Order: sequence, then C-alpha cells, then structure tokens
Amino acid sequence: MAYKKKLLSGLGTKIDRAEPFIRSLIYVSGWSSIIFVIAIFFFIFKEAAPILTKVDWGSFFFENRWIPNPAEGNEPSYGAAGMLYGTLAITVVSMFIAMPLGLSAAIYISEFASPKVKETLKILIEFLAAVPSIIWGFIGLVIMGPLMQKVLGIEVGVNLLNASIVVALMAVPLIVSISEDALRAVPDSYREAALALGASRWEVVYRVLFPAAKSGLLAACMLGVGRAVGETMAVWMASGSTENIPDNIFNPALLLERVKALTATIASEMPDTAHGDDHYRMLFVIGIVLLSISVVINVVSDIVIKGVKNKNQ
Amino acid sequence: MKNYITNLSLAGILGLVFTSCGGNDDEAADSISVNGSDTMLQVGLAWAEAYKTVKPDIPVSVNGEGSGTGIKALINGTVQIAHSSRAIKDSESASIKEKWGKDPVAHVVGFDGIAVFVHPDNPVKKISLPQLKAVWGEGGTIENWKDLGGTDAKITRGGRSNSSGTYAFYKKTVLGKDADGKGIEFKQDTSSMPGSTAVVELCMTTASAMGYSGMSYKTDEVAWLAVSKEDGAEAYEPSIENVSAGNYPIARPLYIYTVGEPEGIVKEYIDWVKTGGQDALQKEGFVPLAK
Repeated sequence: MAYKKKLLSGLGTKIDRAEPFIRSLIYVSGWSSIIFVIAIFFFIFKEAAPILTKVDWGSFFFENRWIPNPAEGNEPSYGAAGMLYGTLAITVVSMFIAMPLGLSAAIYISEFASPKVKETLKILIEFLAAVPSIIWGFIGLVIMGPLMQKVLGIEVGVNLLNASIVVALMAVPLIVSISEDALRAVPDSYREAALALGASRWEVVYRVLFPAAKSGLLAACMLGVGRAVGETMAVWMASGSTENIPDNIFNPALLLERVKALTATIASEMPDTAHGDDHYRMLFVIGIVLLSISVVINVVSDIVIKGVKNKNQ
Repeated sequence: MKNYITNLSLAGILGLVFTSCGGNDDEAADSISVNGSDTMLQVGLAWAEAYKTVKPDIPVSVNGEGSGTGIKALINGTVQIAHSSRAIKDSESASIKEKWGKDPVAHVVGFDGIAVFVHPDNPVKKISLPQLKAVWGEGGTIENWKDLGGTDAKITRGGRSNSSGTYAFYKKTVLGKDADGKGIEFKQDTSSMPGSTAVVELCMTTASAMGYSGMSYKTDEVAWLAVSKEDGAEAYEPSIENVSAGNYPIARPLYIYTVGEPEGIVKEYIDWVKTGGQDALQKEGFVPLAK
C-alpha cells in the first residue's frame, strides 16, 4: 500500500513538471497551422499584387485566349476562360462518377459487408489513396488513353473523360473513408429502432442513416470536390492540354474533347517564366482563383453542414 | 504568465529553426551545372556522360527544364551553362547585363531541324511552308487532311508548351507574319503537350495527328513529312544532310549561353563540346558543326 502510494506520487510530480511544456507545444502547433494558411494567402497575393490592378478581368474570365509568349510585335493576352472551363468540367464530371461510387462503397462497407470483407475492402481503398498522383497520370495516359481509342474508336485518348475518370478514382478513397466514418457514427439504436418498426435494410439506409449522417456525407463530397479542383499531375497528363470550350454543353461528345485545367497551366508554365515578369504574376493570379475556389467550397460546405445540424436539432 | 513565456519561447525557437532552413548551397568550384532546353536534354546528358572519360574529376550535372528556365537559372547564377534551342531574348540579355555587368555570350554547338511528325500510316508525305502556316496559324484555313491530299479526317494538332524554345522558333519561322506585318499566333485549340516526347507519342498513336518537335526525337514508330519552302518546290526531309546543307527550311542553331566569355573548366567543357562532343551530338540525331 505504501509502495503503491510512493509510485503514484512520483508519477504525479513528473507529469506536473512536463505539463506546461506539452501544453505550449500543442498551443503553438495549433496556432502554427493557422499561421501557415495565412502565410500562404499572403505569399500568393504578394506575388500577384503588382499586376492585380492591370488585369483585364473581363478578358481573364470570359476570353479563351492565353498567349503569354506572343509572336513578335503582338501584345500578350491572358484570357483564361478555356482553363476555367477545363477545371470546372473535370470537377463536375469526376464528381458525377466519384460521388455515387464512393457513397455506395461506403454504404456497402458500413452496412452490408461481413467483417472480413469490410477489413479487406478498407485496406484496398487505403491502398488506392496511397497511389501517387503522377502514377494516376501515367495510367490515364498509357493505359486508359489507348483503351479509349480502341473501345470508343476516337482519335485521341487523352480528353475530358479520361482525366475525369482518373480524378474520380483519386477522390473515391477520400469520399469512402469519410462517409464510412460518418455512417459508423450513427448510433446503432437508430438502426435497431428502424428494423424493429419493420423497415427493410435498404430502407434503414436511405430513410434513417442518410438523414442522420447527412453532414458527414456532405463533408466527404466537399472534400472530394476540393481534391478534384486541386489535382495537377494526373490532370496534366490525362486531359490533352488543349484550351477548348465546346459550343454545345449538352452534347455528350464534349466528354471526348481535350481540355486544360488551371492547375496544369501553372505546373507547365511556372518553371519557365522569369521571376517577376507579367507571365509569372498572371500565373499567381490563377493561383488566387484556385485558392478562392477552395475557400468558397469550404465555406459553403460549412454553412450547409451547420444548416443541416441546426435542422436536426 | 508561466504558460505565456513558455509559449513565446517555444514559438521563437521554432521560428528560428524554420528560417534557418533553406539558404544557398555554395557551388563546388570544380563541377559544372547545366540547365535549359528540353530539346537538348538527351544530348546534354550524353555530353556529360562522355565528358567523364575526358575529365573524370569534373562532374557535369544536366537538367532540361526548358530554354527559358535555363536562361533564368543563368541569370540567377545557379548554373554556369544554359542550353537553349532559341536565341536569347533582349529582356533576358538585359537582365544578365544588369545583374552581372557582362553580356551573355552565345556559342553555337550544333544544328537542329524541327520535324513535322505524323502517324506512320498517314498517306501524306510532304507539305509546304505556306500549307503549314495554314494548318497551324490563326486564321489558317486547312483543318482536314483531305486538303493536303490525305484521308477525310480532322487534323489533330500536337504543339508544345508556350514557354518552349521549340514553340517560339516554330511560331517565328513557320507562322511568321501576316499581310499587315503582324505576328501570327497559333490556333486557339492547339494543344500544349508536356514535352518533345509527348508530341511524338501522340503521332505514334493517333492516325490523324500532326506535331512538331526536334528531329532527334524521331523513332521507328513515327513518320515525318518532307517540307518544301514553297508550294510545288522540292521537299526535303529533316535528315542530317539536308539540315547541314541548308535545304531543310525549319532549321535552327543550338546554343550554349554563358555570362560573359567562359573561363577555366567551363571554357574547357564548351571547347570540348564543339570538337570532341560532336560525335555524341550526331549520335543523338542532331546536325554537327561544319568541320
């Protein structure tokens, strides 16, 4: 008894001495992440600042004419409409593929899979997430491109559809793991109550679990969108690098057109610009646009999720 | 109060740690750093490899991030040699003069023809410069292979990124100027492939493709067009003989740029490239300097 007391009392003093240090470490780490985010914004704005007043915003957003290295005697032109379309199109199409796939996989893993299958699937999906994005780019370029040419009989295999499929496959693991967590967080009592009332297993999912896990599922989808918007390497290799805006957005053939994304433009052109010249600063303006899109997505999803939470309460 | 002091000092220490990261590595005085043209990357690596037998204790490291990037690195002082497949721009020259007080010096180390690659099954075998202008330049009217004597298929154009030296040279030489003397840009839906190899691969896999890239990137699985200066004139393929004799119309010198006249180990390397390195240049598919 006395021995135990001595041991425990020694323990107490050690923790007391270390505690302020550990508390500081956590405090500073937490603040540092906020500081890093602010620093990123500050850096990008600082690099783009000198040109922000000179940018022709109408031309930037609505004209598809990005010629930073014009022919002799011509003025450079920075119309990014083609690339904005490319990023938007890839995000929309890849989410069309990734969201149903990801949510279904999450539902299956959470509700219908036996424990062994569940474990295996979770490991496989983590593996999908670990594939480096440039490998996905290779897959799009070297495997899916020729496959598409053969199966669909088209001329060029790298296009919007190719890039969207690749990005969707990259976003799926993210959507699955977060959705699965959200579904698992729903108390079993909900499921048991619904089953007791006579609901079928599928009815339990879409009438009870979906509404209950709505905010988590939305968060998962928003993160997937964020992934799609920001993906660079895979998109660069699989999209065809052509600034095209189709005439008719309801014609499904637009899926087979080549596109170019904002991220690919920065990646391909940044290494070759002279530090400080107009082209360099315009690429940072594109960076601002990308950052703003991410911020807007996050803010909107926060508002939607809060709205959902309030409604539930 | 105790917490506040601990927080502040910890933040201070972390701040010092982060700011001490980075900084410049001093270049070893007995090695050579090269960066520049993607077109010249393979031959640059071949030269570095071959130079090991000439001067084994002077390593040469080569990167090929683009003519513009190489010259930028020269301006920043991170390399001693920049490979370039285009002439240096006035603005770049001015930057070098401003930063280093010396003018950049160009050394011609070989010649390159820009080949127009097509799919090997393509029946079209030759094309003229005015036709190329109409295919690639804005306002040009040729969109279909049948206008060039081929099958009825839309031409899939594979171009280079707008910061590439090859892009700049092709625009200047093939697109040139229009009737009012204004420079012609590429058609808006021209793709910007990520490198010379990507252009060749496009032409290997797509039957209706046409792409431009350095002649040294030819493989057995792709074909190239013979180019004539005018419609109806004699067309020449971008072979070493034709480029050397000045018959191939889309030919350019390959440059090495240095800040001021080179000295010491850099001078020795460049002198070797112009003499002993020409074998490697020819083996890579480029046109050597006249003997």
